[in-house]
Amino acid sequence: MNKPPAVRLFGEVGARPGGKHTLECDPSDVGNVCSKIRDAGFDFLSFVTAVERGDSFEVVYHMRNTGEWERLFLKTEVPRDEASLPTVSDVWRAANWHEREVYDLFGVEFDGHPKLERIILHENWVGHPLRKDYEEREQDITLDMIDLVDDEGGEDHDVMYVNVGPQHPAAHGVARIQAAFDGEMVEKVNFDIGFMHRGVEKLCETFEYRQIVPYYDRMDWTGPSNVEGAYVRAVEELLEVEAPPRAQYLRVIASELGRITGHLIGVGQMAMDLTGMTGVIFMYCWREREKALDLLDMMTGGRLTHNYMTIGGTRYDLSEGLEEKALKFTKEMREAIVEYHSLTTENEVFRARTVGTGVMDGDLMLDWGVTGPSLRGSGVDYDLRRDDPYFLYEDFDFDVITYPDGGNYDRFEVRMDEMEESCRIIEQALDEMPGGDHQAKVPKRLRADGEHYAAVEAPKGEFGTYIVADGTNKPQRLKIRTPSFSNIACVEDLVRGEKIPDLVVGFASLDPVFGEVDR
Amino acid sequence: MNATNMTDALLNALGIYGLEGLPLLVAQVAVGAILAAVIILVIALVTYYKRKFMGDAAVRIGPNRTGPFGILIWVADAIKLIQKEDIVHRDADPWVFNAGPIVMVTATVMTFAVVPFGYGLVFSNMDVGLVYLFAISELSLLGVIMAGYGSNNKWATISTLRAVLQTISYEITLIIAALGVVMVAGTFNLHEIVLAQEGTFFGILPRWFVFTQPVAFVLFTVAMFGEIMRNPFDLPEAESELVAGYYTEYSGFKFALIFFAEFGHMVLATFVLTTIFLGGWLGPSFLPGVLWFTVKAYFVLLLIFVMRMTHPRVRPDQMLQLGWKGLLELSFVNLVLTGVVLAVVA
Repeated sequence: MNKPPAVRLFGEVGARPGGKHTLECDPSDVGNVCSKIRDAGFDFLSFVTAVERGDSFEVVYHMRNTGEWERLFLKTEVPRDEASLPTVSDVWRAANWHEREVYDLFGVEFDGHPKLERIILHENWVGHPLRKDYEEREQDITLDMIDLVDDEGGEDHDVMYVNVGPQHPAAHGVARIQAAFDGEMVEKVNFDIGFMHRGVEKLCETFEYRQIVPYYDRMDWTGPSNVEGAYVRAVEELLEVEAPPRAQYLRVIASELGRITGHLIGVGQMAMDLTGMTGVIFMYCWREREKALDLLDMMTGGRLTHNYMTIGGTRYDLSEGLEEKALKFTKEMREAIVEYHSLTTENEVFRARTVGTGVMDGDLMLDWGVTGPSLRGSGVDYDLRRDDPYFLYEDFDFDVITYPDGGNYDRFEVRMDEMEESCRIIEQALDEMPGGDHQAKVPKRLRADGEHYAAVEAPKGEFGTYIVADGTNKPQRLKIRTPSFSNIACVEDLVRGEKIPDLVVGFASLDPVFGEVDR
Repeated sequence: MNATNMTDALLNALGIYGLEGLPLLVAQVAVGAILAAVIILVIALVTYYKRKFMGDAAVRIGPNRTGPFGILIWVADAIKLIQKEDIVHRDADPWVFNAGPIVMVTATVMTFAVVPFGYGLVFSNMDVGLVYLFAISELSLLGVIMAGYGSNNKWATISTLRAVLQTISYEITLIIAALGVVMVAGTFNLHEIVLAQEGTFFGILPRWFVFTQPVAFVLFTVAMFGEIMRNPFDLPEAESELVAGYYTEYSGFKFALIFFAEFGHMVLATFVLTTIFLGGWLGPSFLPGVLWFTVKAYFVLLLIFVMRMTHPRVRPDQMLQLGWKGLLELSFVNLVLTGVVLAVVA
């Protein structure tokens, strides 16, 4: 049994092996095959999506296993006019939201799904936008603000249904949580997302490969440089272009600065949800974030939307004077982290509020498809920078931070410690910066063929791009696997039975950004 | 000299003696109105100071445009809020909804009547001053309940329930802790409670009740945070959870009134703590009593601000645990011990 799980699978489930650990099967077998895949050790479903292939949809599942971090694609074809196949949401909880998304945007039905409703678009929406023949039309969208839940409960049922959001201080953007409160206890929550859906995936199908990068910036605005990496990595690997080492190091610096800016918001907003607007910690995080943004501004020319990474390199070389400034920043950052600790983790009330609340164990987190600091806070040692290195991350010496208990406190601490590791990586990158060019020679017109999935470790978790190319200069389908989308799906389990304040804090501890949840 | 009240003192200063009946009532109302206006001005200036202080602490600038150093920001705030539309939404109970802020402000301003700012500087020198103070300041909770239930809003309802729960839980500790002081001072009269703190131990340590009743002081301070609903007991407002708590639905001037009442409550709490534990206006004679009072109240206010900026709020269940399973028992123990010590000494 020393063979990798994917190899073990072949022959057993009656599916034929394809390249790169790809399995194909009949749509009716999906449930069966997936249970076997799961039993073989693939405990993490990273996404489910569909690709239009003429008269049929190819439904793609992508799994990893925590043992060897091996990757497996499962593909199945369903006819366009009768698009239905069994659900796998009982195999991986993570499939729940991803299948709803496929249903919403492609109209593929999943039999036996516990709640097959539109997830991103409004329930009255007509048509499925990611189909190639989708035409824009006027939609009848009425905002129903009163009838949130069908059953308001009988007179003897002491449950209060409350609409947390879309306009709520703790919505972190625009999300709506329909919550049932029993006194101060959270009985049940139901997420409503999609308020910021901008159809990025559809938009990307209309742009050339080079033009897509800025759209990635606009998904995770807390750390855009990481997210750009998710795209350029996928395209470079698809086109077999290799960026020169200098470019890779520059990308690492940008990514780690982005991680610091992202985590500063994550840490700051969680502390703010605990303290309220009057708390100083959020502004202190903002102070350091401003310095990091200045550095990114120097490097990339932009504070919020960098558009820094290009296919085959970076847009600019290392700016003059950046090195001293960056070293000064990492020094100040370390001092600031000590200050943050004194205001948060060393505060008795903070500990009383966060230790032991919002606890979820690592297996369940993986089952929900949670990645990034939130997963590492549950003790799962998984970081794409180390497990699936990109941008020459293997050159750097850094620790993957994990905390064992899986509570709000642990997720907070993981982010705090990761900022220090990011400082370390930045210092190493500046110290060992290779010479040479920062941009590889890439053909003027990029044409790609084939399909590829690549992911990077963004501040929120695994940010991946699945490109299906058809030989033209535009992608045929671009699936963006965003970490926040998968991360917040677990809130239902995370906050059940907690108090109202911990609903807010538990949600904040997952650090969602709604630009990437809704895309 | 028997301490007179401020109304009489002012009338006497104006050369008016021996008023009776209706003229006296009119004069008292007029003086009361002037004094209430002064209190309102003080509270308004405290809001300015709070914004400036918190701005500095949180690496922001704070108000700096209206008047020198932004000192007129409260005027601009008031004008802005008065101009705003006064919204009473469809499902609200308009009478209760509108009356809530008025009750809150009235109760808050009324409580200032018994606070002695200096020797003889007390609006109404009541013998039951402390009882009056607790009774009337509790009335503002009634205003909170009216505002919360009148709003017919789920956040406001949760907030109101929390406010009632919290106030009841901490009120008892607050009063029992204060009773320790009353037993030592032998009076409910706030003016006389301050006078009872005159003198020093060994010529250095002032005889303030913070030194003779340290446990009561700690209990009173903690319970006071619960009473004025500030961090770490910010549960009814809890803006990251309950939007804005019981005043979620308020706008315009009524919102300003609620804010004012909340601030007034906070300022009152600093005054009360100063009066009964920190020796009120007492201090070395190089400064007038009122200034000593202000300085002490200022430090208590700083304590409230710093707690607000640095401490997260506790969960409701933690708040109840602390209130009923810790503070309450301690306050009774303190009361009994005080009684025993007094009996032995006497």
